[in-house]
Amino acid sequence: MDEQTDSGGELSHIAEEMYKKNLELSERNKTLSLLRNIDEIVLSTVTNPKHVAQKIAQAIVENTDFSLAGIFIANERRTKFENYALNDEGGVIDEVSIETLLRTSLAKKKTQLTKEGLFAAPMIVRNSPLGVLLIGTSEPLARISEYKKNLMERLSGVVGIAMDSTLLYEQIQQARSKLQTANAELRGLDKAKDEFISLASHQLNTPITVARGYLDLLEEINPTPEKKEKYIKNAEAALVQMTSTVSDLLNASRIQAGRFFFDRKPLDITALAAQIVEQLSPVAKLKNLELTFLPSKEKIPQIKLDQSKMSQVIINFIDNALHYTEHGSVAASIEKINNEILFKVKDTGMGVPKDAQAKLFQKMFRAQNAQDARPDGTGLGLYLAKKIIEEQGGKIIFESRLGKGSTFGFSFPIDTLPK
Amino acid sequence: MDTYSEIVEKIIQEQQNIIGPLALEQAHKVKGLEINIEKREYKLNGNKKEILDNLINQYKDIFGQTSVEVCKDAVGSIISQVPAGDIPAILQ
Repeated sequence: MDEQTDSGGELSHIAEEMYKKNLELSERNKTLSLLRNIDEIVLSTVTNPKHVAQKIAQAIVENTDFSLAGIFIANERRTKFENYALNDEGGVIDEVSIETLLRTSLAKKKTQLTKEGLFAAPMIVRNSPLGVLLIGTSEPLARISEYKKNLMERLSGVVGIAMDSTLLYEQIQQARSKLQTANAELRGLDKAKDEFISLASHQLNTPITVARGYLDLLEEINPTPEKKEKYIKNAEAALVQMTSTVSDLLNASRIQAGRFFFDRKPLDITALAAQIVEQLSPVAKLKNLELTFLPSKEKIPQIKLDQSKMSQVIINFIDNALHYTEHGSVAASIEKINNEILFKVKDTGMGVPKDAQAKLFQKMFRAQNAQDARPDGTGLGLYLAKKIIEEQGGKIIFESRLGKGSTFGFSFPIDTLPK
Repeated sequence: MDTYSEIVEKIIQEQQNIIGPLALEQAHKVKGLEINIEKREYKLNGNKKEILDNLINQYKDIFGQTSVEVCKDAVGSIISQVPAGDIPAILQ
């Protein structure tokens, strides 16, 4: 009888021991399965840190008895936490009230436990606190097994590494994107610089060649006084053009470097325009064009503007109009409408093709018909005009119809008036 | 499925994770407990508190106190739905 009792007791003991071993194995399997799950999430194509966090929180709740899983990432000073994921189907917690719990957990680098069954486990990665893994259980605290407590601690380590990797990856992607943008910009600037140098070289070379040509003619042939005068005048004209080109290039360069300054003083635009129209009248006469200036019936008050640069703009508009008009007229006008002063130059010239209009005021852009009519242009005149007007608070006016003519001008608000 | 049936199901499932088919075999031995696994039917014919108590003791008799802890773990989240007076002492 005793032997039987002994055997029965021994068998019972063996059964118990085997049960415990099986239980251990079962728990390890569950842990491994969950950790593998988390691994797969991190290695998946999901790269957005919040999406990764949400998937991890979901995996924790689905694969364990925990009723709640939340991942909170701390800011740099560890004063605030951003909710990256909170799987709380039971609506157990209020985010505001857990702030203190999260902060304490991170500050003490130790898991905190509340009577409501919330575990706040700090995620420490590379010796630095990253955030907090929050886990909730509806089990009475006294009943929570050692396995579950160990699992929570282990999860905070694994989830911490997972989130750290994902956040680092996102930072790398952002840095890479910024670098690509910067590289593209640099390539663009490099190309623009090369084009600019090429254009500048060409634009300067042409008048120098012309001037040299005429000066050579003076040396090699014994010209008549009339021819001499003509050669000298042509050489002079080429050099004047070169000076103008250099001036444009310098101004464009100054704009680029942020060194384009204005000397603004009260300016009578009407008087300035009238003077320029007078100066350019011989050019109009040579081409049999009618060049007129219509001042305003109402007195136009003076405006604080840079006279030299405004002169450049008005000359550019009228000179262009004369150059690109073969028949008809160029009419300049000034008027006051509501609270603005408007200056316009309207011509009956070749006009600007529609597809070129949007780019007309860009640096070095020239419409094809303009290039054909005036091959020596720099493509900087209108760009500079726009800059001069806009930097002083005005607006460019432009409209055109191919074959019918164009209107170029500017407006300034009355606020620009000297006080 | 009522709460008691749910509790029985969770206990058996959890025990199956550890001891496999033995879990169901032992559950079938409990008087008053009818199980149809395919249909997920768990009928407690008689005093439900007593039947539940018998089920847990069935495991305890062979596998010891550890198996009781596993049962407690299994039903931790739903036991609160049962009135305190109807919970077997072994689960408290």
